Amino acid sequence: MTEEEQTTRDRVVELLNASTFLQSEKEKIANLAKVQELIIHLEPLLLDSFFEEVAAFQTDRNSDVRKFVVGFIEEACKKDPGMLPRLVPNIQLLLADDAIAVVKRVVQAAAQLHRATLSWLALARTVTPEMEQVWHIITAIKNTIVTLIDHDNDGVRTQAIKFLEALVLLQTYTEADSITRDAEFNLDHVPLTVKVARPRKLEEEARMVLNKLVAFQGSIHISSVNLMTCMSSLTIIARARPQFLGKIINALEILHANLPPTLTKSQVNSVRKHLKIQMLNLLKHPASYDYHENITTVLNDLGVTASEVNKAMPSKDSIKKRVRRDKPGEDPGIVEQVSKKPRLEKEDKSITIDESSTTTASTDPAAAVASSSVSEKPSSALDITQRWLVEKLTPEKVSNLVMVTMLNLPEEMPAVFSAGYSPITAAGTTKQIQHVARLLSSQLTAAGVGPGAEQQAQQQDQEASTYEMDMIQENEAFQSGPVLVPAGVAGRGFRHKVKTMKLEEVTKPFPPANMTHMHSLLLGRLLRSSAASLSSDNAKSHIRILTMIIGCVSDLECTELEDFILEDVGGRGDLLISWLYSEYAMHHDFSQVGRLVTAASASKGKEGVRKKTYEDILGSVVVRLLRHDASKERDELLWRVFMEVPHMPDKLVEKLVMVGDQGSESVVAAALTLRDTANWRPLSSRPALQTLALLATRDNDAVRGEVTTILVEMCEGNESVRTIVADCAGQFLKYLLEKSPPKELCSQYLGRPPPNAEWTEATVKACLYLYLALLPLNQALIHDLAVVYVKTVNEAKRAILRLLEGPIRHMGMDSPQLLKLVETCPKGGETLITRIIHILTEKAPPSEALVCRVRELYNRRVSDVRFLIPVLTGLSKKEVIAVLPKLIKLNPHVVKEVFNRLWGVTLDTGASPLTPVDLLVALHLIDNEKCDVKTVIKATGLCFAERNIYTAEVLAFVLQQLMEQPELPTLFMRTVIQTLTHYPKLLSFIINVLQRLIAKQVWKQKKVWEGFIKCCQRAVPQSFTVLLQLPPAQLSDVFASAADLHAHLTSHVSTLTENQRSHIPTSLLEVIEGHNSDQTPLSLPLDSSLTMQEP
Amino acid sequence: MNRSMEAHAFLSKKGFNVRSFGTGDKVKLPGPAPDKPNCYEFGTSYDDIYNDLLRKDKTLYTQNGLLHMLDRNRRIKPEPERFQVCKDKFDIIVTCEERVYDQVLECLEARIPEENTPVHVINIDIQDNHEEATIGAFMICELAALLSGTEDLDNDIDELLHEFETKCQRNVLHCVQFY
Repeated sequence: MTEEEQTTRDRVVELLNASTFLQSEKEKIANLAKVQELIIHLEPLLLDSFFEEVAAFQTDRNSDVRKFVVGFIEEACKKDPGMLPRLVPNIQLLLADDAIAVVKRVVQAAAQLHRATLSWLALARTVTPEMEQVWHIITAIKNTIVTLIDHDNDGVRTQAIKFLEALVLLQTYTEADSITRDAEFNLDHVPLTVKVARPRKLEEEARMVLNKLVAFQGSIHISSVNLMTCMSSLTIIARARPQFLGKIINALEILHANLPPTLTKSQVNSVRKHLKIQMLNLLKHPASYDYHENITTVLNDLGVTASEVNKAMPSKDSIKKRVRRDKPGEDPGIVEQVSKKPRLEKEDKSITIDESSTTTASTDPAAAVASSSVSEKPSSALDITQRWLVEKLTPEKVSNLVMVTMLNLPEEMPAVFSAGYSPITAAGTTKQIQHVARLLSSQLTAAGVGPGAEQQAQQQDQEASTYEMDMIQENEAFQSGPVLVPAGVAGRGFRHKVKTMKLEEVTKPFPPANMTHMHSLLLGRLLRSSAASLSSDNAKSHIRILTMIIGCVSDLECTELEDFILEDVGGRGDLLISWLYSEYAMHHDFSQVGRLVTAASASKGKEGVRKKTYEDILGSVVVRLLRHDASKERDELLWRVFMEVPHMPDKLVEKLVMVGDQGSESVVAAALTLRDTANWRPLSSRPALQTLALLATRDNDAVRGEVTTILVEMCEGNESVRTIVADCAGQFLKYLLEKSPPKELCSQYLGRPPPNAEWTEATVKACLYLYLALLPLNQALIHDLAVVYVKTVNEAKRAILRLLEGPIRHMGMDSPQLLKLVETCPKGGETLITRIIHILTEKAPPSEALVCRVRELYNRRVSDVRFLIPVLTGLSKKEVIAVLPKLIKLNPHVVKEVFNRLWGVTLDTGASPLTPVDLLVALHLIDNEKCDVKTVIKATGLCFAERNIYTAEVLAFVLQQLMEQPELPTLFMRTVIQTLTHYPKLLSFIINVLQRLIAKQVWKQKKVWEGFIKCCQRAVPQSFTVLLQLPPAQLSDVFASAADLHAHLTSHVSTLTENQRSHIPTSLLEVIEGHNSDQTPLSLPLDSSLTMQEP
Repeated sequence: MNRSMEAHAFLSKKGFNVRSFGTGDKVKLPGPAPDKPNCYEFGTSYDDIYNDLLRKDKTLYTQNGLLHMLDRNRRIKPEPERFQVCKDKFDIIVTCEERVYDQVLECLEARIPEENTPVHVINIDIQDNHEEATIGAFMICELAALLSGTEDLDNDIDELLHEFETKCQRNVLHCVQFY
């Protein structure tokens, strides 16, 4: 050991000790950096002694220090590959670090280490078990990093992409025109004899990784940074490994047509710019000659001018050189390692171009040469689909397409479009059709449809399975050999995970058709056999297992499963619910199993793919349940489904109306289900209530009653429910405004035939049921009714008037809404209002408020007196008397009704403003001008007919009051006579009346006078005394009009005693006995004495 | 020389570790007429340029602010630098013009990455005059503060740039390159 080395060693020890106890990370890193410089670059001999100490810092708490350690390991291994076995395990540990920065650094270093390891292996004469072990760890790291491409962190993904790029570059052979770094290590330098790392497998792996990279570039959710990284990586690969040019240009083309939708506007600009740079870079590469057309099209789309493109084109010489080289057999030995496969691929590409656009390609000597060779490998998916599309793109189809898409155009041109649009110069030419087909093909292929994509999928499957087989063999080989322990962390315990054999890796996939068949057989068997155990104790676990399995069945099997469940509606509810839950979990991507299964079936091709979603399945189950024979079990299961499934789509809730045509029990059960749905599933509450409302219009009375009760109960408790139901009711009601009955309410489920053009009573009622049921609860609704009533057809009007009674009575006359309606009665709605008031006053006297409103309405707007009838008893006496003439002019029935009200016959309580006496008196006092006598006579006739009311006493009162009138009413005497006819016992009273009439000089009123005479005729013989009190002139007048009276009176007088005769004035006697009448009249005092005698 | 140096001055004052470069073949400054610019080779110091212009037409170059600008520049660093010849590695490169952004990308793309250390290239369009340069320096400084404030730049840069774009109402070009 030299002196110099000793001092360095001391210094390193000092630095290491210092850094262990340093607090500041910066100083620590600075110290360690010094150590690194010393032991790696200055005195590499010391590396062996100190690397462990430095590596021990990888457990430091600070992530920067750990990052530094990664850098140290990278440097150390690059300097001395002998370090690899000691430090690679550390790297593997650090890869699992918590800090993102460290992971990124590890991924970055891993690419270098990977290369270093491979070159170490390649250069070694013999491969030791230690080396093998390092290689396996590196492979493990490699596999981990490959999965990191889906890491959560964007930066890690970026580094993973770069790692993949390095991996591809390392594990492939170069070609003559590869652009590489100086002295780059790659597969060229790996001898075929290395057993651990077989070049063929490595190359195979590189291809897989490249595919992965291409796929990653095409993923929708890729961030702009990663997208650009990916694009650059692919370009670097393409330039360094021209054999991949075709695939990569293809990928970039697809990308150009399918930019991820998540990018912002400026990100799109950046990406397009980046794409332009990448394309120009590719264009510069001599090997890209065959793809120039594709590249220039994309570049033109990106807005690159022709001169720029030309500038980037490689010189003619290099192209020529290349063409010559490509000719088989002409210039052998230039490149040894050029693999055969990619070249053929390229030739095939030329053929494609040649086939499609003969005009351009046939002039090129290169293409002509290329097309002469036979293609062996199928072209890329993009090409296949493109060719397929070109055939389809006829002018007719295209114009149809354009017409169809026109409908989907937005109203205004989006800013993005105007910014990115470049006019199409050569529309309709073959070239342009090719271009359009290419763009479409890119999109189709990216979406995984079209003939090309299908073919590709199959191919990839094969590749993947062979690759996996290889991997398994490799892993098996890895089981033996020494175990490497990470340096500096001894004692921490590092165990390598033993890889178990995976079944899926060693088995070949079944043909899809067989698979489906077996699937369904298996499912059927499982279901049958578990039918018994579903009802036993361990049903729960059975169901769990079954659900796992049926969670991944295909469409056809779904139907079978439904059949199975419906076979025993009562017993298989658990299975159904469990199944639906698993579907839901799958649909929302909650379940791992689901993800696995969908991924697997998607790769298998079309047949295994499941198109039914959770909603479809739920929908079909519910509909089938509804069509199932009605039974209690069925209804219970329905209830369970509605209550328990994770999500219930609205349109399914509405389907429940289908039970309408089944038995009443089912309908009630459905109604209860709907009620609970509305209560417990707030999201579905609206459709549930709407459906319930529909059911409440059911034709059958009993059912409707039950449903309505449920609905009304719900409304009572909850404001929002009431609003929804009221909306429904309002909507139903509004149907009445339409010309013909609504379809919604006339389904077979509601017990009504499909609607005709005309309204019928049934259809009108259907619209009204719910509304009227709600009316007492939500009185404000009444205003809608009034509006509708005015506008609707007569049939509906009649129905409304008929059905209104119940609800209105419920509301009562104190309802403010009703009063308001009366107050604001719409024009044309008077009949409705009258009906309402009638209903209200049928059983109770009108309230003050009501009377007030009606009176106002009558005075201001509606002059129809019928309006007042219901509230007559609430009016004042004066008012009644004022309208009386109008009232009695109405139809006799109505008049009778009016009188009944006034007499208080129909009502139990409440005082009438007019007593019977008042009424009759009032009738008599009606002015002849207001009403003709006949009507009044009829009215009085009605009164007389009512003998219970108009008793003798009452009539006596009436006469009494009439007598007191200043002027006797015309009909007075008629009434007197009537009274006499009805009640003969009142005779003496009437005589009295007659006598008083004489005092009132009754003869001055002609009509009354006539009546008087008639009355006297009737009242013979008692009337004689009255007659005898008349003045002689009047008496003779009587005799003139009633001759019989004369005879009677003469005989009467003759029977009188002398004494009695002496009381009769002689003038009278003269009149009686036929003498001339100019004699002195009898003195009156005698009259009075006479009357006294004849009570 | 104008925009980048303005930003350079401003950012170093705020404590950022910053450098400034040109990307053209030569250092070009406005001359007496649009078609007669003053051209210098990279490597000519600001002092020399200053003196050269002073000699040519003192009033003109004082009036259009060139001399003032050169005076400021020579206090920051001795001479203009060319980006293409610089082998140092950066975390973030900010350009003030799309043409320059293209040139930077072209330069970086031409190198085959060795270590795969990422560098973010960001372009903000700034017009080449004194006022805009001052505003631009403010914006660049704000962007730098935004980007240096995050724990994990690679992961957050998309969002941060979007935030910056909406705040400043400028379109930003961004891409990531590797050393």
